[in-house]
Amino acid sequence: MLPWMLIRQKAVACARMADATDEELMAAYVAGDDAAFRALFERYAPIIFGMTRRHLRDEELAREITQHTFFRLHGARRDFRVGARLRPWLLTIAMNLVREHWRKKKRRKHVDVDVDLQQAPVAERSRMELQERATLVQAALARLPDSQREVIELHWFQERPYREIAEIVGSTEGAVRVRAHRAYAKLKVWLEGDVQ
Amino acid sequence: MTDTSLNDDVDRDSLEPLLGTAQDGGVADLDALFAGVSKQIATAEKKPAFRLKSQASSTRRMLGVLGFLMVVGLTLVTGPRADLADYPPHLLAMYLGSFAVLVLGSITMALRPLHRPALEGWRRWAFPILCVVATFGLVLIPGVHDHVAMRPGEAGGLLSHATPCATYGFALGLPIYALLRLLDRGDSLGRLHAACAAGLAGNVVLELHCPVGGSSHLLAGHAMVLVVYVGGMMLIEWALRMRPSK
Repeated sequence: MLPWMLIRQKAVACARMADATDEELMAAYVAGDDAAFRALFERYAPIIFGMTRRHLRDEELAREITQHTFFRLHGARRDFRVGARLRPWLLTIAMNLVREHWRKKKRRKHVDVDVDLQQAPVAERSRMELQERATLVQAALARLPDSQREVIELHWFQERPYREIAEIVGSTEGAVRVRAHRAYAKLKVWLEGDVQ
Repeated sequence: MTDTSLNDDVDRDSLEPLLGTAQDGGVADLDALFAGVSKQIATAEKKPAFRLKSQASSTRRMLGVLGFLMVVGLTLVTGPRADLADYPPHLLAMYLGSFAVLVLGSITMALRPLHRPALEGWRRWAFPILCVVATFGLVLIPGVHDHVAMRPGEAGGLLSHATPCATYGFALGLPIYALLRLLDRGDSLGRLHAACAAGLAGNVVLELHCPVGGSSHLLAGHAMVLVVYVGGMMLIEWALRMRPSK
């Protein structure tokens, strides 16, 4: 085959990958298509990295957990069944790893909040202030119990519906809603207090 | 925010200025991250155990059950109790059937798929504790062990006749534990549930091997096998958790 034909074939395959659903990619990967695994990684690694970094407040650890999530996905790929959705699968694996980490570090329950909460930005949204705001949000999230923080992470930051969150954290939709409401109420009080 | 349920339940307008929206920031070196995963996978794929672990969960569980049946078969072939034919079939079926259900449950729990949410809080310990309570209950149920097939405790001290049984049950539980660990993909409770399955399997083989029916012997020589497995594993889990982190 001529080189330009190979390049074209690769480009067509890439375009097909980009259009494919998560489940189609997973099915291709289970069938032995490594490019599909790469495509899934490119789709989900940033999401999982962002989620775990916000949860753990540690970039290196977030990288490790992101890698380990995909390693576990590889080991569990034969469990994937037609009709299942991949996103809850992956997020559950990642969340389990995060929970495992917290369980091991149980003694480090109280996270140090080294931010001067009185120095919060008020109106101007300069780059620096946005960074400070992000730090305040992280500090407020860190004050939440693990069970509420993971729900906020999935609901607010990952924009997942309650039904799916319940599936990911292994609880009922009603319980997840209650956790979310309590957490949002706390966050509102804390963050409004910070702003004032 | 595309999710309508978010708008239904949450005062988004007041929260968004406070929380902001999803800002993951992305990963700067996605290629390096992917290379790391590929390397981990390539290294793992070289190990035969990884091929076992990466079988479908139904296959892994079937292998676990097969291992259990092989240990039971081995006991029946090499060291069945002399009075097995006299054991009332309905009592034997009830007793072994109850244990078999617990063993199957333990195998299922030990080989839980990792895409299922991890058990939290009291649920983490519920099944092993249930198994221990059920084992003591089965051993002590009046009428199960005082039929013609059972002999009372042998002469001599409790330790002298309970220790060989406990050792036998513990030893025959080990292959089950090893097999389940080999098939486990790294669930945080895999060790504990594998230990539970091993202890229960030890009780099953002891019931097929030992004709002694005294309560003290059954408690110290049979039920204790499960306690040693589960208690030992809980201690190990606790020690691992208490170990100073890097």
